[in-house]
Amino acid sequence: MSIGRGEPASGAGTSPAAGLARPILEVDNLTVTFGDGPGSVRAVDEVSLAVETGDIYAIVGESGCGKSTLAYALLDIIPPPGRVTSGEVRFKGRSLSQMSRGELNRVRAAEVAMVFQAAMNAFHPVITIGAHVDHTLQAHPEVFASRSEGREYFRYLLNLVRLRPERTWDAYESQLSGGMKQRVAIALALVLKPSVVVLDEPTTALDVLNQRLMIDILADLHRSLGVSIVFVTHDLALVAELAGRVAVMYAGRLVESGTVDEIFASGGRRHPYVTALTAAIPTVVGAVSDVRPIPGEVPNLAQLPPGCRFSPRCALAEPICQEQEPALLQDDRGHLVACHVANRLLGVPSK
Amino acid sequence: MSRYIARRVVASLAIIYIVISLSFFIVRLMPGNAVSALESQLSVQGMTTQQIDAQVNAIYAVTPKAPLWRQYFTYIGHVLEGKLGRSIINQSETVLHIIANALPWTIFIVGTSLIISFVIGIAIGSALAALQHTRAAKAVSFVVSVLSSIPNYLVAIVLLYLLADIHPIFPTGAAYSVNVTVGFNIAFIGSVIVHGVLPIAAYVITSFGVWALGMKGSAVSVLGSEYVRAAESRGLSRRRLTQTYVGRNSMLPQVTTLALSVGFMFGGSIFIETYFSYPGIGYQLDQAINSRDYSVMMGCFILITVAVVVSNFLVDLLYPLVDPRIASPGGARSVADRRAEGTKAMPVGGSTA
Amino acid sequence: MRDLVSRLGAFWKDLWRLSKNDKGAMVGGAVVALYCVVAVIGPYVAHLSRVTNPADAYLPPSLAHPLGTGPLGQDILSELVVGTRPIMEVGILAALMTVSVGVVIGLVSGYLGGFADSVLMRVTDVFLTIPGLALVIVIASLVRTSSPVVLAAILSVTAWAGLARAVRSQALSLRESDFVEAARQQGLPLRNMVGRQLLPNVGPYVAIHFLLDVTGAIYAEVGLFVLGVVPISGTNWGIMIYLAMGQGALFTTKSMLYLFSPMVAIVILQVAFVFFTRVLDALFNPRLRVQ
Repeated sequence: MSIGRGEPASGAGTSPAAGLARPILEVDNLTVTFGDGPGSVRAVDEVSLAVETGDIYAIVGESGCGKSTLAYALLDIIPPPGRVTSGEVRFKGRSLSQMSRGELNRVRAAEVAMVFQAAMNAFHPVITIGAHVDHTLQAHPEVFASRSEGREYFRYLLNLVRLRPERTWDAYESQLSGGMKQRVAIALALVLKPSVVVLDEPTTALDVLNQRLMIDILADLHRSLGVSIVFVTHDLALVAELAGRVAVMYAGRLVESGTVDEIFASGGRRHPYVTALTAAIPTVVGAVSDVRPIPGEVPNLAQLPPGCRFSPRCALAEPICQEQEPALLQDDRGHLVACHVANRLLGVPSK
Repeated sequence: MSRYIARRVVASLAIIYIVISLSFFIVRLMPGNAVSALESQLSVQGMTTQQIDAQVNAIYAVTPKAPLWRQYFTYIGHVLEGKLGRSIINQSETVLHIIANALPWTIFIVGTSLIISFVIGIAIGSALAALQHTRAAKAVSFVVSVLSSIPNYLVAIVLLYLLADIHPIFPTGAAYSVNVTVGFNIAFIGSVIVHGVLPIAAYVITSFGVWALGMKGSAVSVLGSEYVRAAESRGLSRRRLTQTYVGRNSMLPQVTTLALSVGFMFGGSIFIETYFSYPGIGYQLDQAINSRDYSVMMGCFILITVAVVVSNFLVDLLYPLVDPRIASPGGARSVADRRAEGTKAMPVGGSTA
Repeated sequence: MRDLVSRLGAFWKDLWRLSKNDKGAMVGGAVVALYCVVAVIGPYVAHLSRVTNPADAYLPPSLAHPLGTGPLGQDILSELVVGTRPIMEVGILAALMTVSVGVVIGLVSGYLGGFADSVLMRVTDVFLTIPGLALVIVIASLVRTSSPVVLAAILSVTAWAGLARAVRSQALSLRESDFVEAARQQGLPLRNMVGRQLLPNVGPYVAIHFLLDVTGAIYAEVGLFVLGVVPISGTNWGIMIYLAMGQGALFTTKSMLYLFSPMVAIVILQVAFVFFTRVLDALFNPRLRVQ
């Protein structure tokens, strides 16, 4: 029985600039539009990012900022009426939009797998977990020599996510708890030995104990299977604990991206939204009065403010912020920030 | 599982019992008491009290002079033995005989219509869901919504007018032509089919839309559900997705509605069979109403209810086969439970698009 | 109180916004409103002439008779207009009765729980199972009423059951919710909960049910008249169809307008109701609303 895919990753969370090889997953100037005509909404607006082999990559944002849509776009499963209107997603340098349906289906799950938000609803309610696995194996006969080998690997994965295989196989989703479903969903996503797994809000629906367990399991899987992980979340604590690289989205746009150190280190060049987000996390030891919620609300994507989308809520906003959309500028280490004020303060040269 | 079946059996029998009681009290207690009406009618004809009692007993299966509770128990006993009394109009005919002759025709028409409209409706509904947001689907949705909002008796009248009276393509009534010999021969079967076309068409035209819209609605919501997206993300084939993941689950609510629509169609048979003079239960009920033949009337009513209860029971039995959650201890929801949520989908002459 | 006003304001705003996107629903709403207006003012606008001239029978449409005349020379349009009120009246009355009975039984059952709940729900199940139309026809033929109130009561005899079940399940889930438990421990009366929490939850369902009940009642009501089960008095669409059929309208093309005008009136109304319901559906169904 072969376990794991190839050699383990070349060190979790290593510096992204170190990888000279192509990124395994690239998002290039991607725009996803819902609806058409004047009522249409851009849930993802000209977003670019690159996931290197072995990365743990976090996409952070408040609800409704387009981060789940971005995650769907990574597998080209954007729910209608949404569609990609510009840009593309590349897996190992190949554009998903240029693949045939057959090729795409081979990439899905076998190469890039997804674990959905609310994994509670990720299973067909009237067939067993085992049937889900069999259907998946059947759709990808190239991965394993035989069906039983695939089932055997799924049992191994269930052990990894700390579930009892014999009790899970014949269960219906209604017989599993929320935390168990989430873990089964992860095992199911990994059954075809993908190189990248995308998780949408992996901890949101879980209680604190299960969240802890989930973080341990994900770190474990990353170590023992060498799988690259992309996850979408609004939970900064999870990001700090797990991620190597972080991209922060606000109202459909990327506002900052860098290593987890660059994002969380105090004093660095940061987008005011990210500063405000980190200030809004309550800590166990700190006083509640230290928690500063961000004033105002996330703008409705259908009625965006002119200029910088964060400007109405921003403490540092200047007149230019209401007029001109700030560009996403890179420093020499690859740290990207889209803010007129932050970029000027640190004198980062324009591209 | 056996507990589930036992509960459904008890519930079904209880409803049949209640309907039989209801029919007794309706005839006895409604304004214009039917039994006393018959008594006075017979006494006008110059019968003696004994003769009248005997006659009333034969027709209504009750003894009029006995106290009400005793009449009630006698009646229940008689009905359970299959003695539904006799027709007032044609006193040589038992109600049971009339019903037994009429029932096969109604089952033929209602059953055929149900199958045809279910198949057409599910096919159209699936296509509408697959093609949602396209112009063609919107146009078809519109036509289907309009058709399913039209009362079925109006469609019957239009069909009768256009295809039987003004352009005599189909016969205007009866279940088969007088020229054929009843039996298993081509002429008879052909005649039955030709006579059934218009009544069946009237049902199908007004009811396939309910299935189509119901199927479209549930398929759209299943299509939007996480687990279909999850299955898609695992690279399952299109065929596997549409059949096992979308199709099967979208069908579940339709199976529930199936039981409901049997009741609706049996009710509608009063209109359809009357206009097409089709000798089924609905036609007999209408005849009985017009001639105030209460024993036939209540017999037909009891029978229609029993038919509905039986079909509900069958669907309850079949449901666990398509949805294993039902048979599991925590998930035992009867058709009645699910139907309450589904009532919106099965209004009279209309449906939510 | 202010809360309710702002809620209603938001409701109308949403309704308007969604109607603008769904032309079918907008037209449906307008048609329903038009029928209501005709039902109210119809008898004052149109007059049925008592004296008719059989020589005027089955006249083709003209300025004097836009829809032509019937077998007795009567103006079809006037009959149609005058016949709107009895139909709408009974339909709306029946739907009101249906909805009130359904809501009351559902609430009582859900709040009392226990034995009362199981008894009420068994009764509801019986009414859900009995084929409503058959029962309505049987009762109507025995009672033979021409009073709109009694007729409406007969029409709503089984229709309430589905709503009662839906309201009950809402009430049950509310009863078991944490905040009701908290309110109970603080000694707040439950009726506050009914107003603040339950009605807003059930309201949408009740509204949709009401509209569909009107269509259902009209279907059955016209059906009763067309069958001739209820006494024929006055004028309404059902009676028009019944009389037309009785006078052999099916066998001649010249009576087409007389037979088909009331039918078209009914169909337009039913379709309008169903399309109008759709916008409410969208309004109350968040999944549809997002799109």
